[in-house]
Amino acid sequence: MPNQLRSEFYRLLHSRSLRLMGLVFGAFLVLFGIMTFTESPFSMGTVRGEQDGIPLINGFIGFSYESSEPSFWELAYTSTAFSGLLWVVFMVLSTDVVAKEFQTGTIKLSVAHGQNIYKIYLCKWVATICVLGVMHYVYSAITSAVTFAYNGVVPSGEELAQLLALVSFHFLVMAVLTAICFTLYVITDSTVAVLAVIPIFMFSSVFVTAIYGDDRNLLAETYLNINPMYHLSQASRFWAEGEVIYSTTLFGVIGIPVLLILSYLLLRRRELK
Amino acid sequence: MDDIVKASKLTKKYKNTVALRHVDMEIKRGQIYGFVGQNGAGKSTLIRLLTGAAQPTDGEIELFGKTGARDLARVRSRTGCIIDGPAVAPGLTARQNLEVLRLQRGLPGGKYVDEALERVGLMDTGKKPAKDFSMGMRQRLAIAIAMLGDPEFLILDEPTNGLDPTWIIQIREELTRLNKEKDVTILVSSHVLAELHKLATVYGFIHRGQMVEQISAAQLDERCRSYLCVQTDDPERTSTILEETLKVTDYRVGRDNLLMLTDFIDEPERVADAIVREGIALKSLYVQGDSLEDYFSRLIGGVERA
Repeated sequence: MPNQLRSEFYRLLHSRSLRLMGLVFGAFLVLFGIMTFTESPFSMGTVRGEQDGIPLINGFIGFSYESSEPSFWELAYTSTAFSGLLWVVFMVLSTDVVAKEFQTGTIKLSVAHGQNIYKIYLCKWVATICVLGVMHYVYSAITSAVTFAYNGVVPSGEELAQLLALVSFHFLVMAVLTAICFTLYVITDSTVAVLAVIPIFMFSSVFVTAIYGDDRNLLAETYLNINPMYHLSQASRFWAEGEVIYSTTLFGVIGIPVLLILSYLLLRRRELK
Repeated sequence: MDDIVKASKLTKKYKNTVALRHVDMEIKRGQIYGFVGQNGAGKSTLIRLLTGAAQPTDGEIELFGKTGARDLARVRSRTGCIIDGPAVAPGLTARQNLEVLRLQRGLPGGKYVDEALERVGLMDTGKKPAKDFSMGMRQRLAIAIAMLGDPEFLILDEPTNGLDPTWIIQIREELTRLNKEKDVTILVSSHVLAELHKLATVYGFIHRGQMVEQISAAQLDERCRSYLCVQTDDPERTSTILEETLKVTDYRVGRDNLLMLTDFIDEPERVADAIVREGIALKSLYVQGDSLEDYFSRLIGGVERA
């Protein structure tokens, strides 16, 4: 297993898709810088009430402070505002990683050498999560530093811990998203299918929320609970709504093992073309 | 000699087709097994079953004396292979392609990669990704991958596809060297039967999913032997001339008193001269024999008639 993991890291770190996704992260950073210094508002969500004078948002809203001295949470929302778009990077890279070897047939070489196909698959997922994790946390560290520095705010240790928790909640949801992409590829054997289905799945949560509001039936509630975009959207309210922590953690803790077990069952008797 | 491969009654069915039907195969250590069959005969299917890329519907595979999924997976680490053409990562360089597999297999140091690249002449490809390689270069990289880590058993599906004549010779010589010096067992399938003829020590002929015949190279050579056929108006005197004048000992008499010589195939004029000089009328003189292609065609023709 450690050898397979080293091999997957090597493969991923030398891949063109990773370089491309690095550029996309870079482009997001540039865009973020421009929006910070031009003080342009960004909105991919709605305000649904407030607590202690701080708006509680559903989705992602940034650079829209009502006072000249924004609260910590307004700055935190701003520094993570593009998480509503970053999932695209997670989706594209993870789909590319899982599909590449099946498409080129190189996975057959590993299997023919006695390697377990599921271990290879698992190592691919772990390598993808680790690399995307580093990118996600570095990106978040930069955007947070820019936001706080531009507003002349020095966050306390407790605030930094809360910001880290928010970034980690986003990452947990993204980790589930990568597992969904991996599993969907194993089911469909098609990158086109994954790249078409996932965005529809993600954005459908917005429509379901809009249609049902807070008066959701069991089906709509279940659908939203298995939807990464729904969890991403509500993650920034975790400081005010404790149940968000519970539902997001449950989504990650149950979602990841279930998807990995499903993949195992699908790969167990899979024949390689 | 111990068995490297022993497959019995292997059957592989897909939805509407039977790709392999009760196939038996035996490859012993040190053999170079030439696997011959038309397109769609079942060569690649059998190779996929041996390598674990597909599972048999019925029958059993034994590799290095081991059976069962767990043991088979363990002993497969002693093999190297090309399955269904060259499988390489297009975005990686030749060295990176090998490095990925070196890391995965836990081979220590970089010497394995250097050796493999040198064997197939890809040392100087630098940062060029495999997607920009010619077909021959990709095939050579696939061969390097198969040979990485000095496997005991090589499974090569059409290894000379796309190679130029120089590299066909070099790869053949390298395979022969590995077989002779390191006792590497090789299973090689090829459409180029003449090429296979220069390499194989045992042959397996497969047709429409069934193993038609498995014979040694010596047996095949015997069956494909060439003869100088002589027909005269006096076969008895001709025999005497052959034995006394030309000192021929290895000949046989065929149908219609046809004399079949294994000597003088390249000098038929000497035979003709000796016969005519004794005043015997020479009715016909010709060389007859099967090439591997002829033999194979006859073999599968016979199967189809049956």
